[in-house]
Amino acid sequence: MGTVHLSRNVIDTQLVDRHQQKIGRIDELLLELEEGKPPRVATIVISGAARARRVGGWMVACHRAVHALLGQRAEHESRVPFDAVRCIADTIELDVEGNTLESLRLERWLSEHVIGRIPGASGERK
Amino acid sequence: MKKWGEVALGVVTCIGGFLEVGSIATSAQGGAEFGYQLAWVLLLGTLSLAILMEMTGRLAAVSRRSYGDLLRERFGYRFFLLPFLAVFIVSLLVLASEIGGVAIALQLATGVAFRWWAIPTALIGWLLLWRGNFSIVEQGTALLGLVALSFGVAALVLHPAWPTLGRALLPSLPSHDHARYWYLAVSMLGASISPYLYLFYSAGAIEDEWTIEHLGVNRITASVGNVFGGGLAIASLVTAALVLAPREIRVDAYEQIALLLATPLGRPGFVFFVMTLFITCFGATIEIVLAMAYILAQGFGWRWSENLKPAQDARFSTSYTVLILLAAVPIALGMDPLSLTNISMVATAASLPVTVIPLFVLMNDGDLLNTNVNGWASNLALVVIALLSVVLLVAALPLQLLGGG
Amino acid sequence: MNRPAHTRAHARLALLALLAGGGCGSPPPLAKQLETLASWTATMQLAKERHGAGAITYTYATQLRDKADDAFQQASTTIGRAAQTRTDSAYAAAALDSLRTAIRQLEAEIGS
Repeated sequence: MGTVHLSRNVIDTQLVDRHQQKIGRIDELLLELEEGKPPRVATIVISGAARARRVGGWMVACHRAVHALLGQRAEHESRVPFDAVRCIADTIELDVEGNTLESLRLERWLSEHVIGRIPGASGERK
Repeated sequence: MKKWGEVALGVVTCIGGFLEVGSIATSAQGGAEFGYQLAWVLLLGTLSLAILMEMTGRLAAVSRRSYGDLLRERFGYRFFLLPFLAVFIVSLLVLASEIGGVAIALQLATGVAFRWWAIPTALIGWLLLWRGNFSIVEQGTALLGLVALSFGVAALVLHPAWPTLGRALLPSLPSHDHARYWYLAVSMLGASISPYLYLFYSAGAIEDEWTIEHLGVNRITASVGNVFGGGLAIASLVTAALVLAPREIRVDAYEQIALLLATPLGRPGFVFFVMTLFITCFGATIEIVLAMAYILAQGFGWRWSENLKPAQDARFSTSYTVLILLAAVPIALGMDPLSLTNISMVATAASLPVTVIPLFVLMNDGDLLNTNVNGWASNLALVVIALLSVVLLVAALPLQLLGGG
Repeated sequence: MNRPAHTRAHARLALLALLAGGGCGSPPPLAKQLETLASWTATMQLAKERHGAGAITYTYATQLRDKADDAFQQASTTIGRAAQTRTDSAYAAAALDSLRTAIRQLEAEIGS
């Protein structure tokens, strides 16, 4: 049994999926508020919008403007239940499949449509 | 045995790594205009860099996270943006300068104007990053960077006045042109203490999978390596002091700097100069663009490694691709490489506080470093460097206006 | 601050002029320009000597020559404004002359 500090050891910590692949950092934590029950840490949010909110209103406006320019309507945000946490150490391991996460959509898109198109991008280890 | 191999590699990396477009240009200008007098600035810069590198290396080896990772983790996203943006913008300027250095080297050799070499240089650099892994990058630039020793040879052949040089290792005030003297001092410090160097070193420790076992290697690499590297920068200053200063030749164009080695060492000297400029600037190009991609990836939690195939860390590989091509633009447009270098060195000096001061916090964090936190001596050294960095921030703009070329 | 608006505007303009003057716009002082000319003259002389010794290539020597030429052209246009007195003008003319001669000598040496 030990103590884990939310701001020190959880927020902004590197997340890895069940295959030990990096999938982002904890950008935001959501508490669940239910009538008659104590609040509990419910959700991990991986999202650019969440990061922007932490900086300030002006950053949120910039973020929205950039996304509007790129013609995107939905924010590529991932919300993972806090129950998925398997281990909290130097990294936080989540019992999820990284490839299905919404927040990695850009990574997948780049891998397939940009990087993947250039010779030598994939294959055997370097 | 393997450890000694790692030490050797690290030391050799630093030898060539220290000397690059910024060090060569600022030392040459300093030596041409003030003789040996500014040597103390290089000594100060070398010691500061050695200390900062040892610390970021220790941080990575013990906490298993690089300095870039910890800037976000320990200070939060909001604060992280400050060092991130400062390093990013300044590094982009320095990156453009290094591409300029490679381009000038190719111009010196072939006669084809430097601006035509900017994009090809970026493409070759990109290819190396695309196909090569971290060992190749590290070892390649290290071994080839040994050509930089030619600066040491040149200085020795010129028979410097050792007592005078020794005295110049202590700070002194100029007898003329005060604004210019201090401007050159600031730019030489910016050339020596570059954030990309200790950020890259920290990320490199993770790429090489350093652990607590590597603390000795880290200490030797950071100290011995930088002493050699700094020695070469001092050699560049001394050579300029003995070749250019007596003839009252000031460095107004990069082309003049080749005379530094061509005078004491003849044709081989000229060839070595071109090779040194090419190799060290190319190595620096690779290091800087990687350092920028590292801090981007680490700050946002992306997958990253030079040892992964590009498709496996697509955001990381897209980043270095875009950055290296973007940085080639100023030189491709014909911007004067020497002016670009001078500006980027002063900007580097001004940006130091945001990466030096957070390091002080991290190096005293027992949760991260356990028993390897800073002792009082290390802390004292770091405080001195931090104060120096604040002085540089305050002095940079006025000196650029008053003493800049 | 209760100074009238136009005084504040003048102050801002003066500051801008100062900054601009410190940067581009006004020619460098005479002493600086003479130094630059002397520097390039000495560079040409060193290059001539080095080429004679076989230390530098023709390609490189021409690059130096071209740079010296640029400096000469630049100084020719700006030095007139910086030289106020007759003595100053005499120095300026001598410096330009030295550089021109040195460039010619290098050209003769490298056969260009």
